[in-house]
Amino acid sequence: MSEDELIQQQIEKGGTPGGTDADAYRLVFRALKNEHGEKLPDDFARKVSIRAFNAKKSFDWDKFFLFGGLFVFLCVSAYAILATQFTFNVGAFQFLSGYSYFVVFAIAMVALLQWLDKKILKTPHAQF
Amino acid sequence: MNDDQALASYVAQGNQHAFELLIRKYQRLVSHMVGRVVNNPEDLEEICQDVFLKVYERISEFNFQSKLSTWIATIAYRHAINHLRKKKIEIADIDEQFAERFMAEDSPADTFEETEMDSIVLSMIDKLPAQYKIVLTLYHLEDMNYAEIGQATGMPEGTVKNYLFRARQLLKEKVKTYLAKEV
Repeated sequence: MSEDELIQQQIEKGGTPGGTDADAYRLVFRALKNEHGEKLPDDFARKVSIRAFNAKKSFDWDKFFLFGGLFVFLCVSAYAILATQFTFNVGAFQFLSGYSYFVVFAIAMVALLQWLDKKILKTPHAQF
Repeated sequence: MNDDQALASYVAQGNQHAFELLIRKYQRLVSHMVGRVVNNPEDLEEICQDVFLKVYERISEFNFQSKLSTWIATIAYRHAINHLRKKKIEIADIDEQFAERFMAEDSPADTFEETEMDSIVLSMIDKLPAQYKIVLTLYHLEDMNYAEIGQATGMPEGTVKNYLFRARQLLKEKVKTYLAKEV
């Protein structure tokens, strides 16, 4: 054990070793018990708790537009198919029907990228 | 069920008053940790707020395998380190060259002759790498042991012990140099 380790241990245990090193260590140990100068405001706890609960209660517009848009899209598509007697055996759809797995894969990849984008690019300081 | 378990379970059930109590209980710990590495008061408040919002978001996942204080300290540590990364502040520059640079830097007392010794030492602490500062804070201000600091920071216990010893030794050398100049 080095002399420094010994002095640090002795001071921690309440001992009073002598010498210039020990004197300097005592000053360091005393300063380390001081709190940091900057303090949080008195109403910090109240403000943060209100913010946490308001965030929870606030309406999730992202979900509203996502599911609302999806619902409207499905309704309009269903109506259009019924109204026009549409089949998938015409034009570009006939061509794409030969690559159905590729189309499904491409849609899944786009959705995955969108999801990853949303997950990774979060707000600042929210990276725990 | 101890106090912390009861508090955490009330918060997880959505009790706002319990969450406010939890913040009051641990805001000192979080502000000490974050305050040691962040000098701007606005950043300090914002990061502390983000820490507690994350605590609230994750409280239902907390399983009491560690103390609540250690778990909160883990979140605070990661937020503080992320802040330094965003500000492009060097995080891990702890080597022999660091010790030489640290000793060669002017003592803060050269510019604040009238300040008390504690303030001078605290200014010296500010110049240490973030990991040293956080380990010193958790050990000396929060009375955490090596294992708890290791859990909070993800450092092995040996590293915690070594950082603590080395940081105090560097500060001692700096204080000695300052006192020798003053005489």
